[in-house]
Amino acid sequence: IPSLVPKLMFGTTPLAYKGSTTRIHLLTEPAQIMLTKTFSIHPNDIVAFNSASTRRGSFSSNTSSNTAEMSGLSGLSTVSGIGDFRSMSRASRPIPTFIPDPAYTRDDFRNGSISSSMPNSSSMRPRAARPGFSIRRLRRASQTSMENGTFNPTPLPSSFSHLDSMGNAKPALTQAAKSKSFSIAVFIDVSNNSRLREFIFSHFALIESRLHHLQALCLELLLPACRNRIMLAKGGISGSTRSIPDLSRLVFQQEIRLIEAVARFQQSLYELYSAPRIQSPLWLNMNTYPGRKAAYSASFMTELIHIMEESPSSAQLVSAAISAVLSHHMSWVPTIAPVDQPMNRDHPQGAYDPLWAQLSDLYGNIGTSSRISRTIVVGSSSSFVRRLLYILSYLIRCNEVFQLVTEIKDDPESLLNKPKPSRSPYDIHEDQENGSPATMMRAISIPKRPRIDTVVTRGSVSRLTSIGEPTTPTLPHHQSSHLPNDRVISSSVPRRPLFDTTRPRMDTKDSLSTESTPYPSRPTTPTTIESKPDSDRASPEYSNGSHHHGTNGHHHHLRVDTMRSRTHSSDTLGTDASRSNKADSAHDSGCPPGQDVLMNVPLPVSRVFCSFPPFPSSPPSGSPAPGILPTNTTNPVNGVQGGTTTGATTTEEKILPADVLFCKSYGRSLMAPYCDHYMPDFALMGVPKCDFLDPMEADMRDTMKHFEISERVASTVCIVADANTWKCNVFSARAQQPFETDRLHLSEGTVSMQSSVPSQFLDETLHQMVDLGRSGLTAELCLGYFEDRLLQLYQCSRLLSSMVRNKEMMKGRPTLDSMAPLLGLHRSDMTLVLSICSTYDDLVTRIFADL
Amino acid sequence: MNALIALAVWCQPHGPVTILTTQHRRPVSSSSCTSSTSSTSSHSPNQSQSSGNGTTKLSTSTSTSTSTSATSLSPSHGTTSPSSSSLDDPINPQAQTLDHQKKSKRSPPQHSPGGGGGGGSCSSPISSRPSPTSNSGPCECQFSVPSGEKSLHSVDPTNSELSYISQPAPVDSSLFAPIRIACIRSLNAETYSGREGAVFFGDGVNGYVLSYMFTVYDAQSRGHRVKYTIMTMMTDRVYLVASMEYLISQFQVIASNLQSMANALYVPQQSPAARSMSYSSSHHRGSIMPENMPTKKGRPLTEVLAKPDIFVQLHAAFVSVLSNCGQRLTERHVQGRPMNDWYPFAAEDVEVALIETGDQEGPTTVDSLRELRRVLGPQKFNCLIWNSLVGNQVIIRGEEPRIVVEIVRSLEDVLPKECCTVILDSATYEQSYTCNILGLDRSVPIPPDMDPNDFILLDLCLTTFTRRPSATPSPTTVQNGDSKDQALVYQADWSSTSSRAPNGLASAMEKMALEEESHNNGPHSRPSIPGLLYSAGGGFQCQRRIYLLQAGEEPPDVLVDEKDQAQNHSTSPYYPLYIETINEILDLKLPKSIETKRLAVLREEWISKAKQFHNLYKAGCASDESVLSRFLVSMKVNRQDLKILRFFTRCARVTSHTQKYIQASG
Repeated sequence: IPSLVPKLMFGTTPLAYKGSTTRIHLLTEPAQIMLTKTFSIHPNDIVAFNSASTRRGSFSSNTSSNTAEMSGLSGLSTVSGIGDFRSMSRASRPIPTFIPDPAYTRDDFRNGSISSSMPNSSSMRPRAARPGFSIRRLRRASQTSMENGTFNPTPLPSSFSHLDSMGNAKPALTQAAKSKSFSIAVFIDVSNNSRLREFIFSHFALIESRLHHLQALCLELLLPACRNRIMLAKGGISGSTRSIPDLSRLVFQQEIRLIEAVARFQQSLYELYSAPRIQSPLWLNMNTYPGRKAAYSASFMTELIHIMEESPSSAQLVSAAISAVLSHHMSWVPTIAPVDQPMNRDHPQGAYDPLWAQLSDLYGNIGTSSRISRTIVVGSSSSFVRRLLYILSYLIRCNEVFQLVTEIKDDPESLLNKPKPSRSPYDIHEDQENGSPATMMRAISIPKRPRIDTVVTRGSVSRLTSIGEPTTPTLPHHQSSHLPNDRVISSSVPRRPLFDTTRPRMDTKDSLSTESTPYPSRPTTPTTIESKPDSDRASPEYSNGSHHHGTNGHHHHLRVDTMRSRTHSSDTLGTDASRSNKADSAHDSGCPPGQDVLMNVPLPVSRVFCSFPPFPSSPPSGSPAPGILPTNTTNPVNGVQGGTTTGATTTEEKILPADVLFCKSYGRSLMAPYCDHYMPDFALMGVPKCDFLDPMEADMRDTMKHFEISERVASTVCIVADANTWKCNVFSARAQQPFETDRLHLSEGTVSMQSSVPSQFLDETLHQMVDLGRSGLTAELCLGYFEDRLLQLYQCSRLLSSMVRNKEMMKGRPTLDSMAPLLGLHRSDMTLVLSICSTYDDLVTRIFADL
Repeated sequence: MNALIALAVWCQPHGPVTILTTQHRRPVSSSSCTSSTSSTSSHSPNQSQSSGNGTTKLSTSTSTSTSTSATSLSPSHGTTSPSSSSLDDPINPQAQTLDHQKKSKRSPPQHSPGGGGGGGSCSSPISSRPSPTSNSGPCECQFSVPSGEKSLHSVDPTNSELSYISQPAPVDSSLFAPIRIACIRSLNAETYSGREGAVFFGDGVNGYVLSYMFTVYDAQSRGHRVKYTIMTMMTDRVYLVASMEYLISQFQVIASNLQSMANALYVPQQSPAARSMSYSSSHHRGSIMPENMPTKKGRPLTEVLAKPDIFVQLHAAFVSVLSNCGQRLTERHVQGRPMNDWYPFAAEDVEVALIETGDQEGPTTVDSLRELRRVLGPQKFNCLIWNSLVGNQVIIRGEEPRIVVEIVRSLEDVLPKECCTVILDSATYEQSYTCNILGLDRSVPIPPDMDPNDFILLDLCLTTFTRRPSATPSPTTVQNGDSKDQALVYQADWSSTSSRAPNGLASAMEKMALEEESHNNGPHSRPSIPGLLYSAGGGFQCQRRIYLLQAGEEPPDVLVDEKDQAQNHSTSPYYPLYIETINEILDLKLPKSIETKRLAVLREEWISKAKQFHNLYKAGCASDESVLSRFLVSMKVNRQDLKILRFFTRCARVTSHTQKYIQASG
């Protein structure tokens, strides 16, 4: 296999596109997932880098600023949706789907990129009462659409060389020839752990972000190395015709930054997988298990009363924390905002990635400017922290993503039926020597620590250090670059590694042994049931979590028929068909439209036979898009499910703990309970000590550079509610605006801190809830009151939005504070109201931003 | 799911060839969207391009209709044809990119639609071979069905708006190049471990592809194997990765089905000798022969599997995979409550339009509470508001239906929707259980036997003055004099009530007359002294509207509760907090539309308080004085407001019903 690895990483022939490329392989022998990032460096990169670094003095003292520059420029590249080749191909057909975030509420409508591809879009107007919420999803769906001439793949971060300082792509033809490809690969050992496998695929956005950080670091290391080599060889960089020098093997073997970065990658991936989870995130569970809502509400109220009455300062902290969370994790807004239009029909289910939507919601990235928010509760008193986390898990909201498992009903004709086991000997013979690589679900084991190998390689296998190996003709055409025709020939030069492959494997082994040591004392299973004030902790058999997930997949599902019938009304088919085909056949005179062009094919009947988590028995008000999931709960569960035919109520009551569900989606994955140390990526977590500010700031900066859920992250926010000092601080970092090139290095990455002032409105509300609870109202009613109050805040924000649009009112250029009494609010509430406005209206934010 | 599934084969004479692509089509929405776009200019070349490609594609896809396809295909290969040269332009940048990326030896002119558009056809790899002219025909590997259709079509089983179409090449011309590149990359460049396996690859230009590669037994092929790949292409990398396991599992099943179909053709009794004979006698040997090599036909999948309808099955399978994969991850939206109790914002646009035009049209309107307060005076206004807030019937009677409607609408602003049963323009009196806000014509009498504490009557009468006041119609003439005269005027309505009422009550149901000069021109607002009217009218007839407030319950004021609340409001009479807040809002002098919304916000706040009060009441705690007082303090409600809350609980009851319904259903 080792000899195979470079082929896997680079491909066998250099047909590959020379920009950034990504690959994923599923290796069978040791069952591994191999994530590869390939990127190329061009001599111009070196020149650009050189000028950048010399301009700023010595390199060593300015590494961070170089990082800043790279990230800034790659930010630009994604804004314009342009890589090196991209600009050429796109320039001739400007379909501006990639619009910088702050502008989209307007521009998307103007250029019709949504409208042209989405149904019912003509009913939407820019001034529709509730832009923002559904539109984010619609926009995503249209961005990723491949219809009507749009084809805009989500960009990969590229090395900055392909852009000049203005963000324009350089001519591509000179680029590819002399550039040299480098590649990083990460091997994740998933043997016998299908949950880990599933986890990696579902959490790919986070993992890939990390991988991109690693890639950026490698680039950062490679550039000076290449520069130095050039300088040594030629005594200076002058011409752009130079080629990338060959680097010696193991140049980076001892590079401390790389080793650290790899260790950090490993650790963050490990932690992301194996950290404990809040077992029952309140909001999700309340909505997914409506039968348990009363119990959840009761425990919520109990905890709230408890921490509100613990001490005055704790009540203050709770108010401040809730104010801060509500101002930044904005995904609660759509859950209370009135449904004013039939826009809920427009959620194009399946046309966008629900996991992406969920991740956006959890990070509060739903506003008009993209913002990534995380919340950390600090406190040495674990009970307080747990209680606060529990309450906050009600406020950090996201939609449940159900993973539906469908099966094809018996249809002997269908190719999707599992084939008969009988095979010809011819075939069996071969199957014995190659098992199928894509493993299906096997027995599930308790998740263990993932084994992660990291390989950083350049044209050859080597382990994390071995960027080098000069004899390997990785992409040898850098010498014959003037003759494109030669490239094919030269590329056929065998690219196999010329050095022994045992050495790197041994290195890998070493890295394995070392990487397993650093955290021996950690509880390595994420199955620790949180000792939470949660009234309904998971029943003991779930703490194992394993048998439930894999073996009785059928156990708790209601049956959902997705197929109404296989009857197709032929007339609608005909019109649909002619419509969809019109674009093609309209100008085709020789081709008579109609029957012989198009053949309608009935589809095999499929049905959803289970879902994770179990789908609630009846859709909520404002149910998912009609037509999707016509639930059919009255049907008796068929024979497969055997004994559990008692109906939806029993199936509903079974609550899958987060330990089972965390690998399915982000909703139960990104909230960690009280942990012993800081971990990145979690939207909500608790730690004992506030000693993590440096890694946190680094994470915030990293997040701004590459994050998968948005083309461009405008700001990252970390809310730290410190119960040791009873202070709630909001750390925020803002990305520089694209046009602020002068301040490129200054504004980037500065993390500012400001303490969160509790909103008086919320503080009052919380106390009222406590009073109501004490007065004997049931917890559900108290929560209902809370929702009412949130709705009032939303209405105030709508009022503010209308006020801002009223010319008469804006004559006096009122400040935010002067608006407060008009809304009947206090000054301290205005931040929150402004944040709510920002989820659907960028005008308000713009007006008050400079005040 | 925004994905495209394609089946490609490594065709022996032609190399990698896409033979079937399946893609969903959403109905193209209204043309206004595209026509108004800035990308209109870019659309037209696209369309022409797609049409041009459609020609080649459709012709290449039919292996049966050779004669027509040959003619239609020929211009696409030559660069001299005007049609193809015109088509060259839009596709050229792509072609260059393609050329550049694949480093093929082809020159750009060969990338006319036949090449670039031939993502499905085999023409481009052929053209790179030494003798491009020898076989310019379409590859036989490509999709075909026995009945001769050129594309297959299905409607999504769960969403009838979504349909799927399968063709040898993608419907969208913009996808030709990416699919072609993906096809070449899958079958030529990417490696995977094992004989059969999946690779995910892609970049920000050519899209992201999950390719599942497998081989199918074919006795007539070199090595007795044909290499196929099923590719899924998406632009959303993360989504594709998230769906990767599912897709691979499905493709695996499809592949193994295809393999077992092919294996069924394998004749196991065949001795090694016979096998080698078939080896030597069939294409394997033939492929070595130079004359066979370029012209050799590819083996279509229908032949390899001996299933003429295999493409139909494949289409059905691909569509199922696409459809199920799109539904596999389903997000369930939690949404707020329905909009109906929040109408000011729903009707925002309409409202704005009304306001913009509405101000000029009418001479005088009482279309807002502020205006109502102005004409009534604060005290009477508060009385009217109080009566409406506690649920007493409010009767607006007047001869101008428009004004009556406006006043009724204004009053609705402070009441929950559930607490308003409004009859705008009734011909007869309606009982209070029928409606609590009643607009009546002036001539309608009020039944005399009503408890004056249960209703409040606002009479509007319009006095029209011409230049001579004596010419005013007598029935509506109201002397601007003492209240006794007015009482006489309304004696017809009131005589029985007032006569029957005891004296004490009669004093309680104090008759109030307010008069307000209404005027055509705003600046002429004057006290309504008849003498001034002549000068103010300026030649117009002057209208004077007189507001007469009768009966009704007095709001609890400072006299009642001064002891405990006096510290807050030492000067002004202390009305219930809700009314106070309304007045405060009116004092802000907000623009009318904003004011309506602000009142709606206030109303919502009080509705929510009322709901909690209702809950408290239902929990049986409202009778406990200490609980009640704590509730009042916590909710910032005065004791005088309790009556308002009680009335508002009507809507609490309604909404709790609906909430229960929602909870039950959700």
